[in-house]
Amino acid sequence: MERVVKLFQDNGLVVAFLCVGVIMLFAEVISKKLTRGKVPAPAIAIVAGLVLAYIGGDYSGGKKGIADLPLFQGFALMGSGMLRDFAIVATAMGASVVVMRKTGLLGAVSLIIGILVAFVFGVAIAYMWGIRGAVELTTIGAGSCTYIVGPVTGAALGASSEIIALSIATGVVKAMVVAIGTPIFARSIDSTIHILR
Amino acid sequence: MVIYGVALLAFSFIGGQLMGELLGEALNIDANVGGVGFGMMILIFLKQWLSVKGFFRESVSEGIAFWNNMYVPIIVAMTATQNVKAAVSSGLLAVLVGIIPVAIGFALIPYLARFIKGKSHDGTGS
Repeated sequence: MERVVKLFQDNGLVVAFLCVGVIMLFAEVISKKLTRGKVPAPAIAIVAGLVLAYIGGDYSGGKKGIADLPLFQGFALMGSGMLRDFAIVATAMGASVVVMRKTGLLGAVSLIIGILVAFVFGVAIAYMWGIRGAVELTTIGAGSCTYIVGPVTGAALGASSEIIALSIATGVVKAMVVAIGTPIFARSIDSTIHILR
Repeated sequence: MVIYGVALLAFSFIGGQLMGELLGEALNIDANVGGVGFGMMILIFLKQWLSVKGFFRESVSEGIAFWNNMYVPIIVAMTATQNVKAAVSSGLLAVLVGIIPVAIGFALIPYLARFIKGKSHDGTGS
């Protein structure tokens, strides 16, 4: 048994690949079967990550979530700032200048207003909640843009892991609300436009 | 070769991080300002440029596509290593900040659409 534990510890990153792969698989099945695709699989997987982090922290009393358990140390390397930023830059692959142009002025204005509204109101709500530090407020506000911008901003500013966790949770809630809400609200927005005209 | 794609991504990443450091220094902020964003812009630009030149082959693209697909799993791993236990007491804040700005955003869409429609009717040519 001791040798098995050592094997897991020595190959932490590979163990993390396996575990996250299993999480993603379950998230995809839950997304498809239980929510009929309404809640996106990544959001479910990130909720699973939050739960694992809670369990890890509760079990070990540490601050690094699941990575405080010797068997799952590799999560820290897989989720490190370096790999995270590397993968985020890679997502620019999917960006197409042609498609960006197609969305035109409406797309550009929506993008800017969308970010501004999320950030400003995110910061305002966090302030009303009693959070005061500029770094903490900015990280929560960024989390209200997306669950990626939150942790990237928080890490760049040196926010605590606790605040980063909050900003991820914020972003996940937002992603779920948008994913579920958009099809529902699309009709009423459409009819409101008709009334406004 | 796949490594060319990975190296191209690495070049964009490091270039972006350097620009972020420079901007941070210029603004007198002790942080990397926008390094990831600059990296993405460099990658988009290089991809476009290499495609036009005919150097952006399938195998090169695969080296970047792999990391593109690893993005969500890496975020899941990162999430699992945060101090969630300490954050749970403020969990309701995450729910509020996740919902309220989105609701405001939805409410703004009709006005935004009307504004844009008015603009494009002004004869500025859309």
